[in-house]
Amino acid sequence: MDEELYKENILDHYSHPRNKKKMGDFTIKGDGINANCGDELMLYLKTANRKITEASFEGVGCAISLAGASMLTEKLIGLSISSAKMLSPGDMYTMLGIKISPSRTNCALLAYEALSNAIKHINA
Amino acid sequence: MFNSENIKKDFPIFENYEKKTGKPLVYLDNAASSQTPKQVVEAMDEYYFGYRSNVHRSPYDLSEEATEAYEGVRAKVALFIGAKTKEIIFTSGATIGVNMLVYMLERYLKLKKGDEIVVSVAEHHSNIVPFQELARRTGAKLKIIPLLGTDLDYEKAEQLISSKTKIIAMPLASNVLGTIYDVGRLVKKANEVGSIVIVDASKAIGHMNINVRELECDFLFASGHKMLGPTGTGILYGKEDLLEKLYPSFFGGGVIEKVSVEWSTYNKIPTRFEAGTPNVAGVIGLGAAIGYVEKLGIEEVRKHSKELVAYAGRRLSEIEGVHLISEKNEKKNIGIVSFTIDGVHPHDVAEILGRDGIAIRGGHHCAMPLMKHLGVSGVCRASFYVYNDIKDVDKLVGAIVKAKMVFGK
Repeated sequence: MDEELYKENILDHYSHPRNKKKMGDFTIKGDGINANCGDELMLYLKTANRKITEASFEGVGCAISLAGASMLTEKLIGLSISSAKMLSPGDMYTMLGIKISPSRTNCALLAYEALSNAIKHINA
Repeated sequence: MFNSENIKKDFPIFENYEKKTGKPLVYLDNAASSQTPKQVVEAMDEYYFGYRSNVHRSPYDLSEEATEAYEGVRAKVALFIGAKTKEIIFTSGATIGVNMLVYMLERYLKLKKGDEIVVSVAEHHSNIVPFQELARRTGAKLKIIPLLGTDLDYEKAEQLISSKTKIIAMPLASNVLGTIYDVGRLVKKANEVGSIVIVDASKAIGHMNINVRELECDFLFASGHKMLGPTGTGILYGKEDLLEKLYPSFFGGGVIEKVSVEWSTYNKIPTRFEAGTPNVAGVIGLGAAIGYVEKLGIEEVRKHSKELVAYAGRRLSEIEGVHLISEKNEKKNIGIVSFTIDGVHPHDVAEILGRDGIAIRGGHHCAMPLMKHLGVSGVCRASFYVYNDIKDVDKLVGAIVKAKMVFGK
């Protein structure tokens, strides 16, 4: 059986998610909802001088969506808002590093959707 | 004696899947959609290649043959659920059935502020959302029957139902918990207050004996695709005297009696409610599906489901970290086991099992209010039908143990 989807990296981020906490003093936040399963995720960002200084998330989800959120927060910290705006779904797939089947696309992009919702109204 | 091995031979997908993937198919997602036996597709083939034409239109032999076949299924459905032939409306599925019914009733009941609609928290979205919208449009209030364990809280329900109640909508069986509800008890209460009762039989039809006269409900709707029939088929039953009073919600050919440019008068029931060219092939396939189930015997089908539910419940409870959420009493369960696994999300379970050729569903099952009530975001669901057997349950159990290992649980 091909267990590639659940390789160590994903399982590690799922079992020990980075930056999984509610942020009280966030600058902006955005949510993502997976209509297929009802999972919800909230992404918090703190910004200073057009840069993301802190990123965290909270929510429930499967291994793919939570590992994706964990990886995304790591990537976001230190990134300029304009660079964050440039991120694409492809970046999520690259970070996850696995083949995502069509039925799991929403899982893989849940954190990305939350990010898009968070930053769509702010200027870079 | 029920022989699932032989039954499987009537469903080419099992052989085809194995040829394609090299692994046997363990299909346990019947509550989402069942498989189709050869007999159903053959019946549709016969129509398409032998007597295809429109129904109710022209007096030539092909059309007469098609009309006879189509109307023959109406009579068959009526017998299958204990109704009169003219009380059966063909739809494209349960969802469209309930939606058109809501529009038919909206005009008839003239709902207004102060009126109430009662639904249950265990409902599939298709039996909640149309009523939410109806409430929004008319100002009527939506009241929710809570659960008590895996069953409805009937005492609370009886308190909720009052002279203000105009519609009560409830499932015959839950698509997540498997529970077969006591529709009769609520119908009794509904009769006291003069409310209409609508029953969603999507999960129950083809799995248990249904008799609308015994249920005494006013309306009942279901899909064909969960009972071996083709996709895009469904039925809506309505009591004759009520249907007679209702106005169609869709308009076009078939619906009308007489049309002038300015006005039209409408046809007799049930034709009044079937606008346009119907899904003739699908209905003929549905007839073959009912024939298939009847040949097996609906009581035998029911007995088989009970055995599988009892066995699966026992096996699943033996696995550490697995929590059974569905109705445990197989006598009250339509054929569904739902469960959660500590530390493993239902999506991940379904994906890992899927790679072993085991098809289950993981998610909210179109029942988000129920998930909220249960305090989970989703559950894993294995649902059985005629071609499943004990071996399928064993494979499910083996794969769950494996999924737990992947996650180091």
